Amino acid sequence: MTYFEPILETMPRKELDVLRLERLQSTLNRAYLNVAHYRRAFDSVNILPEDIRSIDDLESLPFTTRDDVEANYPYDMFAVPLREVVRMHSPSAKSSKPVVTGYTKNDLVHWAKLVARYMVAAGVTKDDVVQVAFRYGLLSGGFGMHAAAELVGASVIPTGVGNTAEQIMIMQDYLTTVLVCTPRYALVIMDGMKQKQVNPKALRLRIGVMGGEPLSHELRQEIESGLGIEVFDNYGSSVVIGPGIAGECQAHQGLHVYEDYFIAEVIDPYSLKRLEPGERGELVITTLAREAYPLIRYRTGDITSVMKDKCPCGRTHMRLSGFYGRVDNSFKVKGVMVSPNRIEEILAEQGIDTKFQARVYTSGAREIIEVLLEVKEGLFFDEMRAQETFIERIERAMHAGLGVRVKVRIVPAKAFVGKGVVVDERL
Amino acid sequence: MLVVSNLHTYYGRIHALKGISLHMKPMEVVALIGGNGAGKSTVLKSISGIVRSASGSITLNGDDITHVSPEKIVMSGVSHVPEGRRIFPRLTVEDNLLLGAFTRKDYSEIKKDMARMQELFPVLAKRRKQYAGNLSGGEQQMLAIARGLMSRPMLLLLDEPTMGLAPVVAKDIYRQIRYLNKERGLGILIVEQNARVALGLADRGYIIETGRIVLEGNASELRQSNEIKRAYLGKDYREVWE
Repeated sequence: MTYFEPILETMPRKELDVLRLERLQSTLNRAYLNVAHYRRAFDSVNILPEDIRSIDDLESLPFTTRDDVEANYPYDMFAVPLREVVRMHSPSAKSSKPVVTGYTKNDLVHWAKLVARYMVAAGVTKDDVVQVAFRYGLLSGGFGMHAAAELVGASVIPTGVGNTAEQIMIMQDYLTTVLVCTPRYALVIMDGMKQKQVNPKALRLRIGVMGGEPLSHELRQEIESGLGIEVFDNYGSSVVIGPGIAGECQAHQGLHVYEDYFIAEVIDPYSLKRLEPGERGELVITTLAREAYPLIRYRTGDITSVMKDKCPCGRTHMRLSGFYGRVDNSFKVKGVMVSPNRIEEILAEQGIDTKFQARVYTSGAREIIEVLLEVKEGLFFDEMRAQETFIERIERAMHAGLGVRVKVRIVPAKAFVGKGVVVDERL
Repeated sequence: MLVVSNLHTYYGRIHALKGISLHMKPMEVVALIGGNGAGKSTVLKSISGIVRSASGSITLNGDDITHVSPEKIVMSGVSHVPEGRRIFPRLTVEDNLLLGAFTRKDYSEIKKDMARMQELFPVLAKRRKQYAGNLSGGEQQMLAIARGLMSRPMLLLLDEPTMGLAPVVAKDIYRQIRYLNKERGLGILIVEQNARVALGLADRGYIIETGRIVLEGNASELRQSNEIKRAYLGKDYREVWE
């Protein structure tokens, strides 16, 4: 087994906990001194940073929610002056309100190291050719993976997402060995290969570095057998830092949370009580060394469970068992987060208050989102033409508001599939 | 080897340390950086038992030394070189050194150590019969460190060792400190207002502000932090482009 930062990754539990407490306390002190939101939050429960004397005491502090982060847009959650910030990213819009996060020089160094731990755990070396088919830009995924692969010393191809034909050509010609993409984009690539009659087994590909959305057992198997690679899952959150919060090792028994850098808790999203290992609930993250953008008990909305048993790989950091969707039913398409609440908002902006259902399915390798609107008075058109214009208007508004294209249909209520607001029919 | 957790210390009603946690591994050099009155010296005094802490704990190699007497702490391997040297001006250099070994009874070994100190700091050999008060500032600092070493510590607490010294003398002191760590395997916890120098010497650092640790990290990373540069590398510090 190889590690990128062996001392930190295999640190005896006792030492690790000493380090974690120190870092937690300095994070709380900085957040309290420099971020008005945290000062208000601590004051509201009458707690000073020094009242947190152990990692368990963290439980007495209030959560930070996406709403808090949005309410402090753009810079009020930053713990350093803007002149110390050298990079900014923005997570995909889950609501109409944007979010921006910042990184200091040290944050970028730490971030690259965290993702590099995961890549090295997956077996990536300096001899690899790494094709980063993650979105570059405001989303943090592409840059995070890119910096880490360079740090490991691999040859990095920053293809970004999309243009599948070219991706496949590059994969063949540049002798790509590691593919970095979302699991669903791997399916698109597989489909593209089928169409072009490219035999994936004839390529040099050996490792899939995946993340950005939940990876089910079936999906993993399909990609592994389809591309002839070993797939490694990783967890990230653009609000927290990007990729590199947790990553799988070669034991494939869950994702190690880099505990010297994060505290991960899993809570019941309704009672807000901490759950035991093995129990599924919402992941809550506290950063331990983030300078520009410390987060304290941030509710990620992602569903997972904790595993505290020993991992054969030798890492002492606990694991998350995997990811099982979102607490609020939102889902990711083409790397963009779509939430049913946001769909409802857009419909309301358009003066529509009918019941709806979002259906996600694949046609070939393409992912399609369909928003079904229940037909009712006021949503009924005698003229075909008028209905088409109406639907076009809604689709445009959805595209603008969600960042992805959506098909809109008006249907009788009985055409809804089941009862959920979201029906994900993908793998 | 040293673990300080949740340390609270008061001077009368002044809450000087508000929950300090820090650790040191064997043979590590750790810098405590902060402005005047931040609590840096109080941390050292709390560790060496000179100041009693109200709550929290200090363990050395697993043993609780929180409320142990200063001389017992010296015997367990911690030596404190206080701010402003605090040598005995009316005693000779030699007698000052001997006082550093007051917890020891192995007289023949003490004698050997006296010789070693004079080897380590040749200027002390030259002046061993002189009153310590007649030494220059730099020489007094060397004497203070040498006296600290006479108890054969594994951990040296250094409080502002170069305060008031000419830069060239300060450089010499730092060279000695580096030697003690690298060649003698001494762990060193150093308090400094001059962050640039301290972080140049240390493996890791903690930044203290009004009794709280606000940042912890590798010295190389802390040197990168513009916040620290501005706050502790001197008022006039400016990046080239500013």
